[in-house]
Amino acid sequence: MGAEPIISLRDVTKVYRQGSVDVHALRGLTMDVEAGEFTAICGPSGSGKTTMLNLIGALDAMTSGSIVLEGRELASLNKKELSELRRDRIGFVFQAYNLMPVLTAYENAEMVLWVQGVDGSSRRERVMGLLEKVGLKGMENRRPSELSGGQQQRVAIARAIASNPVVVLADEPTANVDSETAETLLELMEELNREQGVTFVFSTHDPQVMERARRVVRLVDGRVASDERR
Amino acid sequence: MKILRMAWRNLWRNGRRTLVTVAAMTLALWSMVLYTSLMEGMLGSMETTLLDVELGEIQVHADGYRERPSIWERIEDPDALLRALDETGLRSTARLLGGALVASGDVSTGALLKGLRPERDALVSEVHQRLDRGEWLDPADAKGVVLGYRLARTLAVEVGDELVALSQATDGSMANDLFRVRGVLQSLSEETDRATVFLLEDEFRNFFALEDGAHRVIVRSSEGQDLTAAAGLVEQAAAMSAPGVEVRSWRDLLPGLANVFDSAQAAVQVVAFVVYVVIAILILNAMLTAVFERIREFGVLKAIGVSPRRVLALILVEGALQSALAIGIGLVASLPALWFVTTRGIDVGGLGGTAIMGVAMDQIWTGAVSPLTIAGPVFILLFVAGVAVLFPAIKAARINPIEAIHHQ
Amino acid sequence: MNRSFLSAGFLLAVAWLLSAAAAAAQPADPPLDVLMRATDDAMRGDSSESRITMRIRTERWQRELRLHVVSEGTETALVRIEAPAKERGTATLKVEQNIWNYLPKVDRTIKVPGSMMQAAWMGSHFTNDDLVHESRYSEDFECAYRERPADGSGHWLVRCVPLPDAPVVWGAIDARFRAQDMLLDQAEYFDERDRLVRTIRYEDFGPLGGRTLPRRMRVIPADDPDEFTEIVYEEHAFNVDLPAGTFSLRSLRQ
Repeated sequence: MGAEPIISLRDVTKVYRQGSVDVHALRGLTMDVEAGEFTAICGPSGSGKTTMLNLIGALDAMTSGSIVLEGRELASLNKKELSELRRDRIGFVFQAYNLMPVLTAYENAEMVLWVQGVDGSSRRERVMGLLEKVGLKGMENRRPSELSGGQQQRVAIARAIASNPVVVLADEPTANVDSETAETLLELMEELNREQGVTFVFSTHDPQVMERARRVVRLVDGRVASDERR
Repeated sequence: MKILRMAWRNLWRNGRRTLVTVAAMTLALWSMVLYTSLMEGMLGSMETTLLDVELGEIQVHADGYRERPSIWERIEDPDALLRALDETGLRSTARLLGGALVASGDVSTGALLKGLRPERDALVSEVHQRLDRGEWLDPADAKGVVLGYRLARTLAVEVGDELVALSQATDGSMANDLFRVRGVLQSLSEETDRATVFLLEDEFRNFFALEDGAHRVIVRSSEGQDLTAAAGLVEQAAAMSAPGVEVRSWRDLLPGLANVFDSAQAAVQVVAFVVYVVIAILILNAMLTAVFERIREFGVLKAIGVSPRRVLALILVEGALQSALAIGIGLVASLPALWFVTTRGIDVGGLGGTAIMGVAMDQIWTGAVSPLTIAGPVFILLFVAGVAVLFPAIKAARINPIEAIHHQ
Repeated sequence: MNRSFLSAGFLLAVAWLLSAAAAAAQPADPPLDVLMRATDDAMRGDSSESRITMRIRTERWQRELRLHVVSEGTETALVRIEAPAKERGTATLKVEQNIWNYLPKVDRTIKVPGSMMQAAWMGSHFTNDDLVHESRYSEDFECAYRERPADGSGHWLVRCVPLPDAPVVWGAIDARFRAQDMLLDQAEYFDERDRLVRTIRYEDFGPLGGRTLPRRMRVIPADDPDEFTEIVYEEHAFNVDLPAGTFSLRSLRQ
């Protein structure tokens, strides 16, 4: 793959304080993500998958170590810069409740472009194309409540990739849908990865999902236990 | 534009709550507009009665007259004072005051005779416009007098009836004369209603054998002029032309009533304060609930890079939309009500002639409409809604996305 | 009991009192009840008629009125101004507790209301109330000697305090009697707080209507000793025949 990693984590630790106890979520995690990769992070509950995605997504601050995204050290950025980083360089797909219930599929998908300040006609062109791509043509004006769980996640994926992010981070994107839907969602993500070169990093404990990933990183106790590419 | 659309749609996700909030704000606005109008109307009419008809803003008496009113305590040369006041541009008139016994048939009662020159007095007092029946004084009708309506009732006299007045003249003899009722006044004040007889200055002088002087000079300040400043002008004019007099503003003359005005204003404010606090709590509660219900959404918004300022704006716009709705509906709804209280008024005649501190209220209580009647309640509502919505808005803007997304 | 001009005057026969007083070097106290009753009755007659000159001096004015007074008992009296010309015909009728004034200028009769009872009568130092309230020392007051004369030219001083239920506005009256003839020659009127309100002096004793009476009476208000109202009896007759209807509203207008 690409020579230069777009994300590199070095010896990253994260300690939460829960009551009077320190919880070590990450204990010196080191790994790189290269452009165009389709990476699954797996591991038992509490192994640090979500924490890792939150740290890469600049939603949370690490305790020690270093995370460099496109050459920028996250620890050196302030809140505003982090917010802009999330907006411009990262796409998010969450487990559930991803969308604004009051906005239509179209409006949800264009959300990030709107906050970036992209003008209306460019937004329209891009978003209509994306919705067609994710298989929601004709459903642009439906509200999330009028869409199935899988369709909602498709809208979320469309939103995540609308701004051409460096990486799309997806935290258990298939956890709330049945296996058939999970299959098609995964196909969609794969397709986007293959055809448009979108880099995906997603957490999962679904064996079906892991099978499709070209790279599987297994976390145990906040460290990389195995990292296999295929 | 997008924020506006989102905010508007958010409002109707829980339409009932929004409607209740808007309805409460509307009702608050409507009632405050009406309440303000009625209070302004009442205070305005009382102040008009008090200043335009009875007191004037400023009064001049000889030193000691107010402590011990007597026919002897006079401003020696009232005309000089009036001329000096004319030069300052303040309107003024002189009145002569003397106690007398007035009688008709077998009934008699004490009264205060007030002598004046109608053409000069009209510059200052609107009493000549406040007749219930009959006509105002006219120099052509020397013996014609005008009296308060309760006095007329006590004496059982009507327009055209004769009236005997009796007193002690300044030469010690018994002043007595026969007058004819020319007019009866509306309810104006306790003093005027019960015990005042207006007559021509020359008749007053004949009656009391009083050749010169006057007991009271009434001065009106100009529109918007500061009372203290006007009183200062009068002081200056008096210092030159009428030494030994005392200049007092109506607030000094009737501190009790001045207090009533002030405390009525304060009462308006207290009621308004209570209403708006209730409204503030309602808005705060509604918006807080709305924010807590949507914590995950705000988390997602912030996660995907929507700035805190935009989140803040979203909530503020939601509050603003509700306020705008309330203001729109409230104002439209208050128009017919305002029209009613200003043109028809509320008949309080059934209360039997209400007076506050001796100043009569009109039989029909009408409201007043000034820009402030409407703008005041609107701005206060906006301010209160703004303050009430700011706290939930800040809370939403500051949400930690991770915690919010995992919030149950 | 205001010894007003309607009833001013004095004591008919206290001869035995006088002789008793004269007999002793240090005169013995005359019996008070007899003295006060005699004082009360001095002016009494079934009826009377007098012509009076009233002189008034106040800070503000000075005037002189000529009055014609007729009375019957103590309850009824009619006073008519005969001079000056301007006020001629103005008349006051008193019947029991009521007073009417007749005003020839307007040809009207006005009943003086309760609120005007303390007002001055015709600019004098008498109030309307003085005309109405004819109290009696011997019935409305409790009297006691206060000072006794050292010799025949001195005075007896009697302090009279109203009985609890008496219709009297005063707090006390100090009546002064001449030792030589036991005639009242001065009365000082005090209010409830024992402040002197006015003094009435009885002067010019001599024959009047067949009795020995003061023919001049002067009221001096305490708050302004320069002011006074003086009454001089020009003519006086007791027990005159008055035509029926003398004390009627009709005769008031005359």
